[in-house]
Amino acid sequence: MEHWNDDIEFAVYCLAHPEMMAGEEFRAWIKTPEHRALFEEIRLYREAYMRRADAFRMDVEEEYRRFAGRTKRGRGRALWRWCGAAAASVAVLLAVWFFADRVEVEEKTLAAAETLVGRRTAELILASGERVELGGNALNIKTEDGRRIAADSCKRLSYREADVEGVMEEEPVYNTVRVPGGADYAVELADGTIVRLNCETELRYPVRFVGKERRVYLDGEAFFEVAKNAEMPFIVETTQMQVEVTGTQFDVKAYAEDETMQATLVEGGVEVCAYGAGSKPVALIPSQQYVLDVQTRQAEVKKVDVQLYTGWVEGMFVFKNQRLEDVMTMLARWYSVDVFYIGESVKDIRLSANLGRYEHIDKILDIIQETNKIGFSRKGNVVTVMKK
Amino acid sequence: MDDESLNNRNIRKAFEDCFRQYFKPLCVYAASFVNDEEAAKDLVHDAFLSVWTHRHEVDFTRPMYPYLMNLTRNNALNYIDHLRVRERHEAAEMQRGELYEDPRADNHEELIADIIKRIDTLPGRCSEVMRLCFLDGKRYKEIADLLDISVNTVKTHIAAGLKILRDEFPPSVLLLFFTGARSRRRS
Repeated sequence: MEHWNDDIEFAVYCLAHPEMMAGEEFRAWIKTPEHRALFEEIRLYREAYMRRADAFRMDVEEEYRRFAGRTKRGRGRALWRWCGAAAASVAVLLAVWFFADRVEVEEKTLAAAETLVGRRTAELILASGERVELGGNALNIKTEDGRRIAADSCKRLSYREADVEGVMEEEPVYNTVRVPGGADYAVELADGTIVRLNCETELRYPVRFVGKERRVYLDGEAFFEVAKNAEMPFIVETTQMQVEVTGTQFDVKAYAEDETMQATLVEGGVEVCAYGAGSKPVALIPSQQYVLDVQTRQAEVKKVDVQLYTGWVEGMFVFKNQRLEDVMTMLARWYSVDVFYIGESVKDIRLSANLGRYEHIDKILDIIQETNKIGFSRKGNVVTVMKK
Repeated sequence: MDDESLNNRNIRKAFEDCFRQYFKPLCVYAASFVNDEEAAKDLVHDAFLSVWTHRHEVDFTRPMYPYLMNLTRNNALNYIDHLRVRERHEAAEMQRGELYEDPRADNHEELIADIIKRIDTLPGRCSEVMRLCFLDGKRYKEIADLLDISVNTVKTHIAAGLKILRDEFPPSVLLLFFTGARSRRRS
């Protein structure tokens, strides 16, 4: 009896500590058929308990989407039908107001590749130029001499536990993460700073921070949660301006092709400085936004609703009384679609909405359409907008 | 739409249904081996990925769950193996045997549901002790301290609980996967 109880306890312990199962002790124990039977019996009870405890919180739809992201052919069409059903189960907050105008009609369509569902993926470019696709399998990324520099968990790339001790400190090693359209990704830098990258964004950063400052290079939009370190200021460089902080949360939107660049502060304090002669650093307080007009070099600081600029971090599109053209520009970037307007006036219709970013684009368009002010037709990755 | 694309569509549909239906149960199954939810999900993803890769050879009209369980279990055992890179004698041995054919595995879901029902109706303390032991993987001593009872009482509860479960669920059903293990311990 005593012996039997010890066996049960041992089996349970091994199941709770899987690394035990790779050990000699377990391997010797399980050789006995009785032990093996006992082990499976206990595993089965354990499974039953887990099932009942409902320990597993997961979103099967999200998992399927992640899966589809891994299989190139699984993405396209199959996912659309899937999303029709999926969308129904996802709560979508919606409040839409419209200020309507007139209609004119003219149509243009094109056909091209389709990436019409938001997803989580990115490409990592190592210092050697080697490219690694992120967002599929969990993986460890190693340098040529076998040191572990980062771990990718399908959600976030992390340099936290990078095995870089003893690396020559003179020459920082840079990696680059590039996020395509219709996707976002997060990187945890070596100092613990978390950077969430929006679509069509590129971030270049050292694998390990050395020297007097932490400097990264951004083209696109990213939300930074900077780990506090007063001794090493954190600097985000973009094509037209830089943002300097010691520890805080803020969003930088600086696509090289855009007419304006923004820095929006959520928490803490930052200093923004446009490049060029005569521009002075501007300090922001929370809820303030710095907007730089790239053409005129004029900078403006205003108070904003930060939710509008940081909603994407939580997987939402947040619009408040925004022009349809601005809304469509954002959707176009996310879903990699082209937008055509039938008549100019439709661009000025204003709307407010909270929409899920990982929805299929058709679902988003349907919701906007429900207002009866705007009509959409989509062919491939071209969306035509018209008044109803 | 031509025949081939129609066929592809059907395959994709069958695959999707399969994924939706079995993803979560398989995760729990995998977690019962690896005790790590994130790792369990990844293992199940891998299982589905290999079905997807071979989707043109797979017969979706046959029961998929046993097949997926088999894949998941092999992935789990490989994963465990990788936790400590060693020679893989026993794990390899555990993997032997093609289980796709085992019709009893079809009952797995039902069986689990029955066990859950039975667990719910176990006497209060006994159920609690069993849960702490099997779900949380606690040691007898820890359970004893937690519930402020003696280790021997814990053992008694476990023995009583197991006896009830064993009496009601025949070992032949319990031993679905280890087809090699025909003999039963201690009758």
